[in-house]
Amino acid sequence: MLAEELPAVEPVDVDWSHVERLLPRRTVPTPTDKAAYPSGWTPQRGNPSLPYSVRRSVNHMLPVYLRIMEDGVKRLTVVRNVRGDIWKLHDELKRHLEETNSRYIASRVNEVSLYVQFKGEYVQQVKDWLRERGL
Amino acid sequence: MTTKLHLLLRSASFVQQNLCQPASRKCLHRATQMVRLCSTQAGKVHDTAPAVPVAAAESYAPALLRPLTETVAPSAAAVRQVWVENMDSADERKLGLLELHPEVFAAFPKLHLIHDNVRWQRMYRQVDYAATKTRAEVRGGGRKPHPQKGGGRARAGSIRSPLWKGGGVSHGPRGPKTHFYMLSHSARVGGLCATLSVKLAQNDLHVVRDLELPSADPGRLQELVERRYWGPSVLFVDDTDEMPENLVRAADQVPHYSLLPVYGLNVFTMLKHDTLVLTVAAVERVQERLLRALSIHNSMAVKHTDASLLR
Repeated sequence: MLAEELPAVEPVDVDWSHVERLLPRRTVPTPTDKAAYPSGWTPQRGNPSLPYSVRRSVNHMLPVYLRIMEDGVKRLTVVRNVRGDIWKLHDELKRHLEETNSRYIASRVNEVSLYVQFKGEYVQQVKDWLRERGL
Repeated sequence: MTTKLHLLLRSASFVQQNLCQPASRKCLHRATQMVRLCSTQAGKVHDTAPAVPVAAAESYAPALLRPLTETVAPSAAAVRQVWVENMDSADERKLGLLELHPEVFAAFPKLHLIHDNVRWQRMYRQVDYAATKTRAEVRGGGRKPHPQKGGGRARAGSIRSPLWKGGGVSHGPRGPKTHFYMLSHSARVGGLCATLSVKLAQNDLHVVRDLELPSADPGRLQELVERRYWGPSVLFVDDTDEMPENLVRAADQVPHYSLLPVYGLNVFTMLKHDTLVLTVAAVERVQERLLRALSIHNSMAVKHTDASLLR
């Protein structure tokens, strides 16, 4: 087919925004700034006065998880990805949990894998404690 | 501009098309970087005192300084700094300071991730060719050798039974076997960050402005390396696979000096070489890619290829 026989083309302005908003994103977007969020989520503000911090997950969530083992009998609260002075975080958090729950709480620190573990179900209390500190 | 030679690599062509930058774009990017005096960094602890006093040190600021998941930039105490050195003479000169993100260059040295990466790099390409024949595949053995009863001998249905000499193997290796598997995206990214952090912490990571050598003499390059106490084996990393000709010709003569573009960076090669020498552009590219990769969930990571991260 000769060049002269090819049909004429013209650029058309198309607004692809309605398609682009449906395409999957490669990364989780940074959340919009708000004073308060209905779900209770708080962004990481950082606390330079503290010698420790925790790294949030890819979805901007706090790395506090509940591990249920032995068919529901054993429940462990795990705080992962602790940076800085992990023992300081453990000591302060343990004191807070024991005061709040008025009982002894067995705990464990893993310095190599950077996590702190408490025996019991204290996920919400730990998250609130971390949120108060802006972590 | 000195001539550049294209390294022959076994990577896919689409990867190098996406990563090769024209020289003009690279020069423009460097020219727009801000200049800062390094007097503000007086409180930092440095490994070596500058050989020549630096009048106005150039600070090379990376483009993206935090992963997309972090709303707070790293604290000043957490940020790592390295000297930017020269390659144009054997004498060491500090040309400026470069800031490194702690998530990439000060990550906790997770040895299990480093081990997993080295094992994966070794095992995914391993093919085990051992193969044996079963009693059905061994030649012969179709006929019953002797009647069931009356001979005083053990009963037998075939001369190729696994009990017989020359018979088949019942549970032996069956044909070529691949040990291919893909390590999870987070493990591979974590291994790269851990290895870079280990190299920096052990004083085995050096940053240079560029890899332009004055001559292609391998002796001069060796003298430079030995004068600075860089390890016996050195890995030079640039952001593109088109490297300066003098370096390519000199390093070609020395088997323990290797050249690598950023997209070929891997844990095994970094551990195999004693010293890592990266250009400023390579450091920026590595940081940008790893910080972005740290923000990607495992389920969204494209399997078997990193083409999506090139965008």
